[in-house]
Amino acid sequence: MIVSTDAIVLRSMKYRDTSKIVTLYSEKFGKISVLAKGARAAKNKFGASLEPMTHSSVVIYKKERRELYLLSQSEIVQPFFRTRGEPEKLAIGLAVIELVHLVMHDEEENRHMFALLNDALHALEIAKQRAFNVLLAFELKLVRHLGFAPYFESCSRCGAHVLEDDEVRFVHVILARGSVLCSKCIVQHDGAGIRLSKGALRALVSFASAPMEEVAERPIDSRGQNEILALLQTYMQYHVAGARTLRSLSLLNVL
Amino acid sequence: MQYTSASVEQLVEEFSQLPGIGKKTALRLALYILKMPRERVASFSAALTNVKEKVRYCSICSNITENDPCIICSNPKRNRFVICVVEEPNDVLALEKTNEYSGLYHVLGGALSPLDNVGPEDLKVKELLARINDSLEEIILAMNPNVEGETTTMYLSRLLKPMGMKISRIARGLPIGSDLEFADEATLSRALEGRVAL
Repeated sequence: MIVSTDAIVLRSMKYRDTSKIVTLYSEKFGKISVLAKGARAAKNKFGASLEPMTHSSVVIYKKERRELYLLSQSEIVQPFFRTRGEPEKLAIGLAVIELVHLVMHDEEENRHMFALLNDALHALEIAKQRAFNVLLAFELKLVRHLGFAPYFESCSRCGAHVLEDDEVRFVHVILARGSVLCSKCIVQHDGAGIRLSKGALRALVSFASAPMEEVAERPIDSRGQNEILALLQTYMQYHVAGARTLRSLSLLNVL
Repeated sequence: MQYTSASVEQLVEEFSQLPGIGKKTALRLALYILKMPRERVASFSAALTNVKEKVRYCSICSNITENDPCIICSNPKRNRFVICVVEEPNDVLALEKTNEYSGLYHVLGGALSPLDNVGPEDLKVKELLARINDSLEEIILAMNPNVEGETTTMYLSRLLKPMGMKISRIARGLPIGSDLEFADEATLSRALEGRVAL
């Protein structure tokens, strides 16, 4: 069966002398692997359309009970040039696709997930500042999408609206429940939670409701960003099989 | 699979350890070896042993060689003021075929790829820095035009620029003999960026 779909390139690896095996997150079929014959040759019909992070329109030969399909055509829809050219954006973009590669299962159609991934890469491309917010918002929205949405706005014990209560200066996130305890209730709680400052919590709540293209404009300092990243990575590793620390972020230290 | 000979079984096992070789291909190769004349098998076996015993990495450029320094590093006719940095030894062969470059090389042994756990400490970056001296005029970065290559270029240019010598990269764009109309926008944009005055 010959099918066409939009897809975002997650990974590509060398195969034999001139070919590549490419992992795509496609709009119609979810995460799939395709064989791109001749993709590494100097004159190849795929051009730059199979580079990681590229949004391409692909045509594949799909066979039932096969894990690897044959790629017939691929054309660039959006190359995300600016993201590739800026070290911070490049590391964040690679972290976004690494996360999708890790946690999404093969061949599960999920158009909302495709749209979320595409929105995140677009937001990163146009971000003029705080590009790191895009990764944080993407992780948060991804967790919600996978069915493990945390609820952070009120204390799960006393019900206090933690953002409005001036006496609450920090909260503790209880991983198993995906909820928070205010600084007053944590003393009566037997299990330890992950401490989150009120500033970071405010940003996190704002990321949850903001459209992806606006998250880079939300104010937050790098300390708050690091707090949220640590929390979301731990939260995701607790709830989602396959999640682990994102290796692509190590590029932020070297670029 | 059951074999009637333990030696054949061992050979199949060894061949199937090679990249891209499955059990069936390994068996086909093993049966071919069985039919080969004894002298050719001995020559094949000697080639395998020699490659491990004689080949080493050049202590200057990290390219594969039998003599240290390699024939390029020890050639007095090469331009010693320019170093071309490449990912793998194959890239040196490709550039040498052009007969256009007369400088020295430095082989990194790969490209930055956090997904594959390859960081700067896994590449021959320290060795490259050790080669930099006041007489060096230019470093040419000749990485593959993919995400890993671009990341490595970005990393090295940031590292080397403060040292004062000219840092350049090889051009990216259309392959000779191809048609402009079939090029994708990413390739064409790079070609426009790298246009030269006539």
